[in-house]
Amino acid sequence: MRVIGRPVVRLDALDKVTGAAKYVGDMKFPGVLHAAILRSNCSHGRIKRIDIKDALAFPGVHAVVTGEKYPKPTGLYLKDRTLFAVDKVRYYGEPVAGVVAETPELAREAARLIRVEYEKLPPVYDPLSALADDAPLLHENLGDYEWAPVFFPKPGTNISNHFKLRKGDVEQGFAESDLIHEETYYVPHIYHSPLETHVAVGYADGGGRLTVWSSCQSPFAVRKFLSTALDMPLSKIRVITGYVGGGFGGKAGATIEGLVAPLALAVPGRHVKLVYTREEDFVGAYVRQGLVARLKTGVGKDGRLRAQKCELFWDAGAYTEYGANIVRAAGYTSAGPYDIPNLWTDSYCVYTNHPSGGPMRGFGMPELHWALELQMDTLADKLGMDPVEFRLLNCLKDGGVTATGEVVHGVGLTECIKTVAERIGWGKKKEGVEKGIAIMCKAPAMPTNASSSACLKFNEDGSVTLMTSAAEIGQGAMTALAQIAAEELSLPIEAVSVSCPDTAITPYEWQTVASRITFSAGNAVVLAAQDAKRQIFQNASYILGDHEMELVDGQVRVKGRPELSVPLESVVMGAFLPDGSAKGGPVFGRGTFTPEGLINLDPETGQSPRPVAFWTFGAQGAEVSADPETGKITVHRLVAAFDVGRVINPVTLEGQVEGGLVQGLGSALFEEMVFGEDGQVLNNNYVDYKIPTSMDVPAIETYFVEVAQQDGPWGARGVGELPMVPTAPAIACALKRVTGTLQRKLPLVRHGRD
Amino acid sequence: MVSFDYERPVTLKEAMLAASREGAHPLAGGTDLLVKVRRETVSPKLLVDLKHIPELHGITQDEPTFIGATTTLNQIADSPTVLERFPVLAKAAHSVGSRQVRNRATIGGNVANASPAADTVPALMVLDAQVVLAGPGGDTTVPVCSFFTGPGKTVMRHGEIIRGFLIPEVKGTFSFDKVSRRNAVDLATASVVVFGFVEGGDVHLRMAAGAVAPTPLRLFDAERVFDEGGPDALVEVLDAADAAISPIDDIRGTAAFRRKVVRVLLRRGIQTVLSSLGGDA
Amino acid sequence: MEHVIHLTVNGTQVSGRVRSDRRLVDFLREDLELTGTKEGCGEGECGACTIIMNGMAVNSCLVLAVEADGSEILTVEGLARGGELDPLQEEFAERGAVQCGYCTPGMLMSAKALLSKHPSPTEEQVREAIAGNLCRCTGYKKIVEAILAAGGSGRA
Repeated sequence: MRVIGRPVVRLDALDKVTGAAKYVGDMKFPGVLHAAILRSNCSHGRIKRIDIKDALAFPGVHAVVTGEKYPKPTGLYLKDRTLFAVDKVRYYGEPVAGVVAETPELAREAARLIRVEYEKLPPVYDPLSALADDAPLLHENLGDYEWAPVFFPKPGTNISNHFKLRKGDVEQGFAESDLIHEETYYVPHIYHSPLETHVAVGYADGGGRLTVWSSCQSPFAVRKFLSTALDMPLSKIRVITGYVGGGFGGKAGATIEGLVAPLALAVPGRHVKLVYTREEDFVGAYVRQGLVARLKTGVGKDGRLRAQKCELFWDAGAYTEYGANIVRAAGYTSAGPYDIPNLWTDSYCVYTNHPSGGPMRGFGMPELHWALELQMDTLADKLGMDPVEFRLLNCLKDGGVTATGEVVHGVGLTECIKTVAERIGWGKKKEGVEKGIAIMCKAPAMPTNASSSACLKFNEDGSVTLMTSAAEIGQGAMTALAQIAAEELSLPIEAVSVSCPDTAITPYEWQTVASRITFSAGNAVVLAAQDAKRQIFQNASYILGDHEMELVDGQVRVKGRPELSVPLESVVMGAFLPDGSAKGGPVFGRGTFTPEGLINLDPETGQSPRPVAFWTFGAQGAEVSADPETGKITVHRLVAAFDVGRVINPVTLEGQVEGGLVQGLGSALFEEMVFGEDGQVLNNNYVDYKIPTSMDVPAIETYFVEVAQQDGPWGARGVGELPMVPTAPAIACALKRVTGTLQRKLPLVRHGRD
Repeated sequence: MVSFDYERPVTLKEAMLAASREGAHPLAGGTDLLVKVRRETVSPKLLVDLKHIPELHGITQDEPTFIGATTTLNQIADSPTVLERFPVLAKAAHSVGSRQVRNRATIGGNVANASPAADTVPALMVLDAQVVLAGPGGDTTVPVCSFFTGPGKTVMRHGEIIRGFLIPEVKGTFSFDKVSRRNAVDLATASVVVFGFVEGGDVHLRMAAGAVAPTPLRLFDAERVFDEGGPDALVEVLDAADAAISPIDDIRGTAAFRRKVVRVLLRRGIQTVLSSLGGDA
Repeated sequence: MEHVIHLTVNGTQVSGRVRSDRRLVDFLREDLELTGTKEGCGEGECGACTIIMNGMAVNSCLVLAVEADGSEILTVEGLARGGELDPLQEEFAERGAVQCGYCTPGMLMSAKALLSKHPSPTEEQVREAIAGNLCRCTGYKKIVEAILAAGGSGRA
């Protein structure tokens, strides 16, 4: 391996350290106009009247747009929302109108002149109350919406998806258990907090074509979303993505683009820019949904898990077009990384008058594992068993069976647990400090046909341009994909350049989410490189004759006869024969990848022999102490081990995992969106929504296990989201040993709050 | 952000003239004020920048020590004079915000902002510091302990400017402690300063607390209880402090939590101070 | 009210006309087109807009452009000199201290201000110096290592 597994410097590093890198907010557009959004100050109400007269007449204002112009519901999995509120508002902060003006200040001032009259409706703020028979309904027309067939909304209720999983005989399992533990766990809403807020620019040309520049993870999903809502063919919409200043799921799907696009269409020929303020960013896209999880778990005296009943009530917010799938993913993962023969799971996606829940790093797994891992740790305690031993006994191993009945192979979880236990010094006493462990699993939650594609365009000098629509959101996709191309083409990394997504130019990519880019787009790059190689060998064969060939260090060689070779650059534009004639042509490799053979879950039992592309497993340990009087929690060390299949770039991998651990630390200790009685986010700023600083970060150690993913590029599987998953429960389990009580509600730093 | 004018006087006289105009607001570091302007909780018509007036800046070696209002918190935290004479003030100044904020934020601004959670104020209170106010009728001084009238409110009148702070010489030992959610760049959920000194053979304490009442509080009653009962009266001292504070529930913590930690921080502060004075609690 | 301001930005004398309420971050990004400096919160809490003003790291969202009249400013664009990267930039790139890159300019400027004062800082000093620069991607470990490496080499 010349490039794979090496600490290649990120392709975007120099651009970023010099300040030259242009993010969407840095781009200059001639004559750009600015947008501001009027958001509802009512969490549940019927819109009686919107008066835009004064705003339209305000100097410098070019257009005002409200929902009535675009009433068509849209969404990723369940079409339950409109671009601007239509008839009703369902959360505090929902977009009601947009203004386009000469400057951002004028747009904001004009937006304040819009008068909206609401008929207030009773709000509902927690999923259990929203399930009550007499609960106010958020979506009276739920039954009229369109949804993908793997979702199960219950019209006439606030349930937008009820996922069911039934495996074995759960009552029999409990009957065979020697110990049964029942408990409820709570996870609050949290906020992605990318350093760059959402930003987008729209432009409608004179010919009815729309271009959107957006800091987003999913340019193709944005295009599709807009196509539905705006009733425009996909061919007329172009979405361009540059560097993304942090995403973490919050820039997946489509959010801000649905506001800027109709505003741009209102002023054809002018660019319209919308930059969210930090306050707006808290409610202007997705938030991580809240969860109430009830678990009942049975275990034998031998320590083996026998049965589990799991009820997950997701506080999914006002719109669940994306969140419905989180509920499903957590449902089919509800046994976590454990082999449990008898399972009964109900996972409910519940509408509430909170901001829209949606994807965030981990996609339901941090929330699920918060409940699961605390439950498992309690069971181990009750059995008098060591928590590490308990997990080693019950965790998935080669030939183990997941919640959906899938038999798994190539599972490196045991090694991950042992690595963490050894490195954190499990069982060794340390004065005033206690240790905790948590384990996890995650699969990419995506449609069974979620595809990636890649093109490799050779340049005249033998260098190559890699085109994919994987977004560079900081995770290092650009670099990892370039490494894969360079390795396959036997090129130095410097010979590969990578373009950013542009739906009009770069090939299709489902979304940059789900820890799937290295795996899925990586496979597409491998296939594109193989396709390019075929063309290179074909071109070379016109000069060297028909032989089996290989590409080594920039030379195309006949296998076994290295003296028969031509330089790569002499054949990438075709072959030029001694008589001056040309044959073949420029090399243009293409590759597409769709994980094949994924089978939908049974709608009644949630069973499938292969519902997902792959599973990634891992373990984490934490060392924690606490001040017994003030409650101040200190996390001293975090140790993590993940089975990544194959390390593509050790530096970017470590960095991504370290960052995920710290994001997990933030969610464990401080992070929570606090809502007022009117449903407003009270801490929609960095003064009161705290994410970790450099002073809050403990010593971090990361280890990687490499049990190859058979169908991954060089054996690699996804890891991006994983470190966020077991951090909070590992810390909470350690804290329990310090204080003697298990805290079941996040975040752990409460300063007296319930 | 509401539009405003800006003036940069270079003499105190010019500054007072400008500050007395309608809608005028003094501007020092701006790290609180510009946030309030952005949030539109303050809408000044004119900002009078005080940073270019030489006599408002710097730390003198006199007795009492004078600290100019526009001395930045980092200058205070790093000042050899402050570190030697009033280490607690250096520590309190250092605990405000981030390095970037402390490079701009001033002691005058931190006080004038009148946040119940202002980190420097409990320190100034136990130091018996005086606010020197420049006004149309000349300079007046007000003890920091009686400067605040409520959250964001002080005895200052429109047109007055904080010149600086006078801090008398003290000999004794200090403790500063703060509970916040995060280890850095966070507001106090509660903070406590204890100053102990020996006078006439007896140990005396001065104590103050932040973020547990509408204004930072000097805990005079608790001090009196200590003067009367000494270290044996620790519980009564804490009870007196508890009676003086009136914390609220807010996003950073509950009133009950604040009551609890103020007792803890005070007890620890008292014990630290007493043990370094050679007594015990 | 408009003001004419004169200042030195990255070694070059510049002038501009600004309204009283114009923030320095906007003057740099829009008037001077120095978009390396980012805005993350507008309240001095995230540090993305950190620049060096008269030798000190400050949040340019909490400085009015008119307040910067007469000052000397260094932004991320001025870190490299004569085509040579600053050691901090090299170490950030080499050691994986950059991910999404949005906090990077501000982080570099806080680090630069630190190393200008303490050429060989301790880890604690480094962590304290960047406590006002939020990063959501890296977990800070590689950033701290990069700053220590740039300082420890004595090159900065």
